[in-house]
Amino acid sequence: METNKENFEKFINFHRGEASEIEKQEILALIGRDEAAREEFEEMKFLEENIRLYHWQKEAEMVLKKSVRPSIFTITFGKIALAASVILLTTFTYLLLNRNYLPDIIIEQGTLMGEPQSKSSTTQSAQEVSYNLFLMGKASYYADNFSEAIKYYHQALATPNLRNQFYEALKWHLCIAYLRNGEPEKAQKLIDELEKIENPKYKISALNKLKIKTQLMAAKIF
Amino acid sequence: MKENIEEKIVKLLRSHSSRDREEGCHLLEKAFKTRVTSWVRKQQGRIPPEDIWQSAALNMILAIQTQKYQIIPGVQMYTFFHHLVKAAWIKEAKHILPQEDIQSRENDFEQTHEEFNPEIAFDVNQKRRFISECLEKLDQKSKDILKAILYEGKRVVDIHEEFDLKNHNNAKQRFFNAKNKLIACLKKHFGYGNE
Repeated sequence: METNKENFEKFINFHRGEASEIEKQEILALIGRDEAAREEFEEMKFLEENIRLYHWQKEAEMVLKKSVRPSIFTITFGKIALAASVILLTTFTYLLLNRNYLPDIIIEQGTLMGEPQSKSSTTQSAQEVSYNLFLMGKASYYADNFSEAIKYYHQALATPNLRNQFYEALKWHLCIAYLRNGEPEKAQKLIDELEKIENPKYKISALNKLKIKTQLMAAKIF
Repeated sequence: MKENIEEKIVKLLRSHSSRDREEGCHLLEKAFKTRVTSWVRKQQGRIPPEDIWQSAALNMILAIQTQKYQIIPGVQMYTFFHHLVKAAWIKEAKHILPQEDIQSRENDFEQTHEEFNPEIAFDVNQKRRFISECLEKLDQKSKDILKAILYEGKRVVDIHEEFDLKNHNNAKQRFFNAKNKLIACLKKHFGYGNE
């Protein structure tokens, strides 16, 4: 029995397929002549085989379960990531490329010019001259002549005692004209000034501000 | 081509390298999972296809590793595998479908393809369960020693330090104690030694 205890590692090697040909012959000869050795040999075979299969099965179970979890996770995560990327890309593209940030203040705010224009009057007030310059600036802007638009807006802004709402609107239009004219620093300065106004009379939507900021950022980078 | 994949699956799953066995599992999955899950979806009872796949795939792996499955030239591996899938499905469906439906399925199952006996895989599965139960009765150190020597192929002389045992003889003694306890437990469970 003690001899078999000495041999048990050889038996395990045999069952693991790691014994040399000579060792195999020796073991086969031993178990052929010794009943106790044969019993030990069989027990080792049984245990080696079953413990190996037990661990292999545990491994296989983990592999099969693992390949399910990632697949569900990957699909869900993949879909969410794709949707988020599309939304982000669309939003960024919209903010970057959308040029519609000039609400028609004149129609919405009928009082911008001050007193209604008298058709019979032949002379124009300073406010009216300023408003006409603003319109000419706007026309130049829509004709993609931004430097001309900037010139008209500056002339309009030079008029003293302009109504706050009109003054702010002019600055906003000038800011955009600078941006389109490739002068982001000047545009940035104007938007900073507009943001400092505590109680603005000319309402600029948060979306329009975001568009301008995104485009300013892109203009500075590229 | 088909046969080559099947041969590869068998070779990989029987390999002593855990990486190869893992690759074998993935290859088996790639080869049969869609087929199995789509078959399960077509059956009554709306049994989750993933459950059936996992149960059948584990039995298939076991059958391959225990040599109960052998490649027969000209016969696809799926023929055997499909029996395991059906068996796993019947086992699950027993709780859901009427008894008559199950009975007819079982009769059909027994009459076809006598050259394969997937029940063998279930016997082996039961054996694995017994081993698991018997191993659970041992303390952690004994389980680890058995694993190190029988599964990882380590030598007794190498493990006494790893397991904080005094010397080589002490390690050998611990191994034999654990081995004898395990054998005694297994004998009780399924008459090992009387086979």
